[in-house]
Amino acid sequence: MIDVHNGQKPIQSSLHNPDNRHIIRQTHNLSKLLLGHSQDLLKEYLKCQGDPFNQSDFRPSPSSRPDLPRPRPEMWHSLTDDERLQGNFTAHFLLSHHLRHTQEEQRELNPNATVLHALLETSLNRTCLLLANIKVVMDSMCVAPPEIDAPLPGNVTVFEQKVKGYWVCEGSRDWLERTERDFASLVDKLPNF
Amino acid sequence: MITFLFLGLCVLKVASSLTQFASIYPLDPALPIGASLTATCTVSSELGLEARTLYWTLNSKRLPSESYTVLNRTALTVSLQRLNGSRQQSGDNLVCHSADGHILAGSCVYVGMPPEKPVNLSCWSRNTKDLTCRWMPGGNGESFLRTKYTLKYKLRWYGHEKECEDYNLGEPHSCYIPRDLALFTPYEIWVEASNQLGAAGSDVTILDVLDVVTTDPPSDVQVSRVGELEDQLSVRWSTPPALKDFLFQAKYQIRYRVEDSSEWKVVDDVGNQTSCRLAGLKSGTVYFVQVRCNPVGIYGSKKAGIWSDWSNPTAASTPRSDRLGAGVCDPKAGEQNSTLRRELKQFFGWVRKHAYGCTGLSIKLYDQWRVWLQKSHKTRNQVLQGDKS
Repeated sequence: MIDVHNGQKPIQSSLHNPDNRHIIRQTHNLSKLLLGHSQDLLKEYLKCQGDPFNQSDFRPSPSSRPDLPRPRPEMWHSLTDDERLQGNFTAHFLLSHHLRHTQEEQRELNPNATVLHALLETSLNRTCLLLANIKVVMDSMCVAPPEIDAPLPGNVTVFEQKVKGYWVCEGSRDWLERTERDFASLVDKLPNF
Repeated sequence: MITFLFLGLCVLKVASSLTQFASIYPLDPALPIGASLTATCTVSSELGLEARTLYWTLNSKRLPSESYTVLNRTALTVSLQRLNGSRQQSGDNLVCHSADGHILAGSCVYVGMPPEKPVNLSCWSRNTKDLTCRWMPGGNGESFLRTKYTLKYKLRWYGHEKECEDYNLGEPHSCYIPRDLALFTPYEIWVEASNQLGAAGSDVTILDVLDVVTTDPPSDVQVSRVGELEDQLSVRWSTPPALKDFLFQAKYQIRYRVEDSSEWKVVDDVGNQTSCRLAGLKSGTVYFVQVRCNPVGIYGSKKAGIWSDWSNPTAASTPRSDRLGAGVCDPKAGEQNSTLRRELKQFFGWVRKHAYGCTGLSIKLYDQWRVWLQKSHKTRNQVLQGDKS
């Protein structure tokens, strides 16, 4: 049986497979867990960098933005499930590297910030788990993962490292909002049996 | 997918060119407390901004315009005097803004002091296998900058310098060397402190690992009555297992206290026996006893070792005296407990005989429970709830 929803690409018969349904639900749950965590990470990160990072009106220029596409919520409806999955895969692949760079930089910049280091470690580990889950879902739906190069840390000044880390933590949060939404949508499409 | 990659590359190119729009000099300087600093913000003419419209903040506090100088149309300097120590270890954030508040560029300024030489370096070895060292930062320990400490060591008469690698010991300013330590030959050990403003080394400590050995507390400490003697208890223990074959001259110490007191009495002259009799005790009283070990003269070392931790407390009580104390009419709290304890002992004996599966019950268990109670700061006259069986 193949369902058609709102003119979207027909749901693949793979979603009738109970294992695939389970991993989709689990990935959705994981993305919700990470989303909550990412808010704490962003808050703690800004606190540790000192003012103006910790001010509510902190808005840096995009010049230190790392290589990470934006989730672009305004485009969401025009994307297919396949495109959404590929977007998630790309983002979390890049984030897994960016979070690691930020972690290494913060070890030098803020060595005593134990709460921040614990949050970064958890974020990094769970992002890698999330990425693995997304890959399994893509494989089960026969969606090819994009080929992406791992980003390099780059040779940046201390201030630029602090700003880049902000973009990474904020980007992680923004993408987790998108991932949660994408997987909520997939869960909705799962057959009810 | 190719479109995506192409778009990605375009974003990268634009992002990197934006970094050229404004810059600050000097970048990430390190300065001593009280120093002055003049920083320059230069904006690219492509931005279309005039230097006189820019402003500076330090840790988001706006700096007064009297301290600015317009160098030319695109460059604005700020002069900072008598800088205080950095507010955070990652550096103070000196930022150049456009008139509407946008951040154009930033520089992290490190203001502090060079480290003082570390002091109070001490080391000990657990059972001759490893070495843990601890030290204190020199001065008041606050240099405002991230100060890195490296513990170094080398054999005094040959060999090259090595660095300790394991600093994550749960307490700051300590390091652990897990293996490959030589015995019977001295080491030189010292700590180097360094930060962006300088470095300092502690005095060198010279030690033979065998002179700083500690060991585990004695195992299996047993405390028991000496027949019906009301004022004595016998304490027996085993040599700590790790050094059992080498502790010929080990010294032991015993300490004991009455259950509801925090004052310990120490028996110092136990020598290297593994048993001792405590005398002069009060009758019908519960005592807590601990033993510790010093591996003196291990492998022929001339020096005293380092005392181990005290063993876990073991409890026992002296027999109750049948003679009444002069002028005492009401039973004292200690006597109540001792009556209770005797009855409990009889009860446990009966349970072991008649209730199958309760072989673990003994008066010893009750004594350990009393020890635990003390530690939990519960009140002395707690009603016994009964055993768990």
